Amino acid sequence: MLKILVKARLQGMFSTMFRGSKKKKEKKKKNSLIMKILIALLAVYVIGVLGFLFGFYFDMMAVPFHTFGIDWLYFTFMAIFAFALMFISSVFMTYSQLYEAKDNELLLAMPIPPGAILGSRMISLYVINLAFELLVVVPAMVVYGMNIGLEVISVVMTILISLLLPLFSLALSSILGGLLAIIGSKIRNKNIFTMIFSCAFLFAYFYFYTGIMEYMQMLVNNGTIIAAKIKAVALPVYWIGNGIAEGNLLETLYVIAIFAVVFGIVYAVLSATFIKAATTKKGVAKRVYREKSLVVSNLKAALLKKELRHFVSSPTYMLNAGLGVLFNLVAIIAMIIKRDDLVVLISGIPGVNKMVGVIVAAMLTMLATLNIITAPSISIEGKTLWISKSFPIKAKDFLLAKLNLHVVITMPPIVLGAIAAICCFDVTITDCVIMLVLPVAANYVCALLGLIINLYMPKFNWDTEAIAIKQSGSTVVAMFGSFALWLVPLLLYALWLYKVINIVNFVVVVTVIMVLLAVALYALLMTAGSKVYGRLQS
Amino acid sequence: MLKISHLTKKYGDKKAVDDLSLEIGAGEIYAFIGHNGAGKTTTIKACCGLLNFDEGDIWIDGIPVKEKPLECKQMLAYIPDNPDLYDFMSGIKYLNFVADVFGVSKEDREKRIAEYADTFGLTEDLAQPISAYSHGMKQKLAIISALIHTPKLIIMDEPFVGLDPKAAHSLKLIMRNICDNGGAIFFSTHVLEVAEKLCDKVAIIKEGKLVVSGGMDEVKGDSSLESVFLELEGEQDA
Repeated sequence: MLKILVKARLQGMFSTMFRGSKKKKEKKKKNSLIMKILIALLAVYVIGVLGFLFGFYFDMMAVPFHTFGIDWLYFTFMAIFAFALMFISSVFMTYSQLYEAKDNELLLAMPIPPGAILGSRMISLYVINLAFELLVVVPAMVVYGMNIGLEVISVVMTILISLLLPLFSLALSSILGGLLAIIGSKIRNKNIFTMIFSCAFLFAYFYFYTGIMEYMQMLVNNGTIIAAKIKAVALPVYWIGNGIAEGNLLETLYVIAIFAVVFGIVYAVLSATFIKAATTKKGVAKRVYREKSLVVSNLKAALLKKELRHFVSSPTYMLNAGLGVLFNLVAIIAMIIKRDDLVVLISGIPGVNKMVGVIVAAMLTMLATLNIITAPSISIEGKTLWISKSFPIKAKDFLLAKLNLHVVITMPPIVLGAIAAICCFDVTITDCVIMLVLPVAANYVCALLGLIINLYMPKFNWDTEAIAIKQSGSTVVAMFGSFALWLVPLLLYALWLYKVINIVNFVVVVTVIMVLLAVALYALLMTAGSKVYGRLQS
Repeated sequence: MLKISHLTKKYGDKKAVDDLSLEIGAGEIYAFIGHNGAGKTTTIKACCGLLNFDEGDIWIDGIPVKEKPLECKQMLAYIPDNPDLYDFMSGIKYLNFVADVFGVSKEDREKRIAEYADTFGLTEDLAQPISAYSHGMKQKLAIISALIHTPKLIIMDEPFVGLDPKAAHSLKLIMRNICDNGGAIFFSTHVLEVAEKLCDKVAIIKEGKLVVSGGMDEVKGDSSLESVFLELEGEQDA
């Protein structure tokens, strides 16, 4: 029974990316293959980047720690980094898998013990955690092996600890997931809570990430002091590292026993309360309607309002598709607060002061291409597509509403960013034009590109909106396409055109091309795009 | 009000609807019955302009659906078998959105929403997000939204599924009232007793083909609609 449940859960988790419609099987098969290749490329890229990053950090520690005779601290940090990555990456997944799974009631109605349902979810999450753990452990072991050398017994201890450490992470993320579920059920506006929590999480992450080199240097410089403190106050943490470094089986067994016991307690508690947690109807007091005057809007305004409501109702949509807005706002604030520092910095570097316009235009363009609001906008209509299709709404109006949503959300921060830069720096008229027009045009191209791609690659058969937003082919292709908008000109200039044309003139040409591209894509959307919309079926 | 002429819709090589012709006049309630997968929903979706079809024509009040879909949609209302509505809106916001799309005046929308929400016992819940609605409440909301712009033709797919007895009774009265005022209703159902008591005409579809159609009395004769339906199914199977 457990095997069947685990298989179904893992299939469900991994197939969402590749599952297509039953229609036009051959075409879908081809699209699916292209998607698989694209997603595989993305996966290889992410794994490669993370592996390289962790390898780089561990490379900073390996030799100094070995020199001071505190090799165990190296492996302790390996376990801490692995735990942190597992915990951060899977806490939201644990929350949704354990506390918000849609099939809880369906499975509980079948002759399946609640422990087996919970067990199947835990095993699936364990597999995911293990995959995250390997992203740290593999580069750490390779780096240590290359710099210092590895003994077989250390590798065996690493495998033992690596197999049990995900259980510890899973236990703690289950507890935090439970707390989130309780808080979420007590507050009226869950979306605001999720947004604030996610943004805080994101800012904390970036704050930590920007200072990571400093922290790493601090770790290396104070290795012996940290080692002494850990040994004194957190003996099990010492056992993790020493078990691997010295090949100490007893200490390794102590550690894995602790992991197993903590997990066992959490599992037993969750198992005993699973039915209650899965079937208790969560929610806040009912809001009773009081009759009031209704606001009348014309068709275009009504459609845009509908799109805006959809956008702001979904933290997943806002955070994943509108990330550029957040960074744009941070950039504007930074430009205003750090104006003097920036002016000194730029005027101090020869040649750069003449390139302010180019730098700001490139930066705003890069931020603009992080916004892919339109890319899942048709897919997230899902089973409600019948509403707009059965109403007297022109295809053009339907599509323009989605395009305008992107513009309304993303354009003001871009324009404000350009204005802030114009006020901050000493710039020419040409600089002003490229700082304003290039990011605005690139942003519009992103919106058009996302919408056109989604028209041709819709995904309506999702279980949760997050699948359409985060894992659909349309989003992946739009993301790559948007990156190409700045990456292609950058590479072209860096590799070849720098010999032919001055950078400012080159950016002017790119701006003109971007405007023309926007016009062409708009024409394509209004003609061919409208026809494709007419054929869409959810 | 609704004329379907030689409608054919294929999915690959399979004909979901095969040369189907029907005519529904003003003032008529027309039931459309058939087993699961017979082609009812495909026919209904084609009538509403939701589905392109391969052959034939459909007219709403004399206007061809293929050539002028927007004019046709302005005159009709469609209620699907499973009312998936915008979960991110509240009930009242959804109704107001529908009224905006159909260009219903402020006074008319406020009056009609109050009237129909009261009839279906949904007034108190209108401020709730649709995501918190039960299936029956969503069905009621879909019905109210279909009535806001006083359509000439209402096309419904299994409209009674999920409704409580009081709401089902109210819907029947509203359907009769619409038709008495010159409107027309075309709906599919598996509840043959309802079709028999409520409808002026009936059409039975099997494997995409129209088996029988006409006035209710004419089709069922002295027996019940259920007997006729089962007999037709049996004859075909034999």
